Amino acid sequence: MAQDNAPPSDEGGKFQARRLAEQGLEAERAGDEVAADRLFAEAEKLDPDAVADVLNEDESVGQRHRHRHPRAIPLHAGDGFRAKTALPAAELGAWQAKGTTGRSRSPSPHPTSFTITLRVNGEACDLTVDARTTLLDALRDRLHVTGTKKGCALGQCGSCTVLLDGHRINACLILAVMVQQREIETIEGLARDGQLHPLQQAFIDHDALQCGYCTPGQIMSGVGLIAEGRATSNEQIREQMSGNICRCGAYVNIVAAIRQAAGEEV
Amino acid sequence: MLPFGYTAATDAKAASQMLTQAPESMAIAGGTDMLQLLREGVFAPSTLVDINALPFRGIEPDGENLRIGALTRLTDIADDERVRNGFPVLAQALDETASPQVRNMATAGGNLLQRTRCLYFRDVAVPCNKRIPGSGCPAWDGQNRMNAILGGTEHCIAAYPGDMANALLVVDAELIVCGPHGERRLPLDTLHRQPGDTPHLETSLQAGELIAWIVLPFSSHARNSNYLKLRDRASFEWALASAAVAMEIASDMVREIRIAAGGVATKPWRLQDVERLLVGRRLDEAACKTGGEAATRGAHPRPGNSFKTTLLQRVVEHALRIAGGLA
Repeated sequence: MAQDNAPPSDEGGKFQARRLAEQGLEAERAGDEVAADRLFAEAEKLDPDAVADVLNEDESVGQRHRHRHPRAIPLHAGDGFRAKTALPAAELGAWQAKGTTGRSRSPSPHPTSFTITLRVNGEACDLTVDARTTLLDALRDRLHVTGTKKGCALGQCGSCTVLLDGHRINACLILAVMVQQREIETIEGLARDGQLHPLQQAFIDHDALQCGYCTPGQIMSGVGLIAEGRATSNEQIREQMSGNICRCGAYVNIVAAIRQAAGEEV
Repeated sequence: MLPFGYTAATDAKAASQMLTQAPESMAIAGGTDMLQLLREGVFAPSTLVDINALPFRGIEPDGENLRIGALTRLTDIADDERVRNGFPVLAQALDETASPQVRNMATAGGNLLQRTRCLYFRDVAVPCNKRIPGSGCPAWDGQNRMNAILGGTEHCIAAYPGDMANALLVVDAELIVCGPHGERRLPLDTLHRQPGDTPHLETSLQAGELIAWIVLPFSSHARNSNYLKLRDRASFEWALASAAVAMEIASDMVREIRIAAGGVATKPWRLQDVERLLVGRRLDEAACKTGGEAATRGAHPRPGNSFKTTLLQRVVEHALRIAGGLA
């Protein structure tokens, strides 16, 4: 393969290739496949091994490129892998078999783009979105309300937590077109008249963060939790905050901050 | 994510029609399973039919039963007093399902229909008989720590991941399903299929059919029920092994008993052999041990998941103890 004959790359090229590949993954996460293809192509010109490394390190996205890239290994395909092909071609009538990849797709008779109104922090915002746009991407990339963070984009890390009609949800797991005319509250909507929300103040008081990336999600989740009336003990708070990951490990102080704010609300 | 069309259905008949007529269309409700699989490229429907406006929402008494709408959010079911008192196994299973955010979004019907999965199902770069029939099963000889020890074939050993269905099995739940040809009822136990040589077919629902209601009959054994879930982390994690037990004890004897296991089988797994062993007996420590041992009959672990045999035995044993008031 062409990559096998590629000249050995210097460290600078490797670094640059890694950076481009990481940007490619980011573009793919954002659903911009054209940009992703371009970035991966540029990165591969510089150092194919570095691209393979980036793809192999990433378990959640980049499947498309991993598939295409000759040096990227499929996720956890064990040494003992053997394909079993004796499966009879069964009738694919039931709903589950439809719409999975590997089958031909027909064009949809329904629209793929919508002009919608989102109600964000009490303000009505009109925008046109692709049907694929998640609430998270609509907030960040279209409305430029970037306090809500994008971590895993798979509902696992909680950094995109917002309130939908008062209930905490993962903004990455719902389509923007599905939440028209519903009340969306983000971290930007918490402070009132220049006064921080009690939980925002409690996070400062207890130093409940280090890098801060998960913090908007932690705070929105905490606000939802307090409103649910479940912030009744440290143990309960820990269990009920299980949908929010903090890789800096500020958990102890996060629990303390939520206890403080819950006490003020009661 | 490949482009798709979107439409919102306003009644069940229209939804069924759209799902049967539009090619490669899929229904979306809470979206918590759907969005992940769309993003990973496992699903690529041409149309998503939003069914959130259908009137299958809420929890209401229905004679001797409690009816739960398929679009009811998991949080609302877990918090309902009638559920907590009449069907504690269901409330406990839901309390331990996913995260609070996901429980606020996910619906009962969607939870029952979440895809049975393994690492390879979610990685579109490798073969998987569930995704592409006939392409092969890398899990059989690959990374199979999370996979099933019961009900698998060489075509598929993905473990059914959910909690709610296991709980519903032991309280005799029935489903009301509506489709292009009207309504029908089916016992929950017949919803999920074993993989056999068609692992891509996970349920017995026909094209255009939607779960409308879950019907739970009140009973003595449902009132004395519990759910025990063992996992790698304390919270927000699938079960490695779980047990749902519903038991009525009268005059010191087991009068009615239902047991189901999760995380270890290819579908929500009723343990009727164990039930037959225990009914009519006094539930003492020895009976719990016997029950746990019998739960693993017919288990075929793969090299990576033989520990699940021990885990299954112990989780059933201990859930029996809890139901019998011994723990």
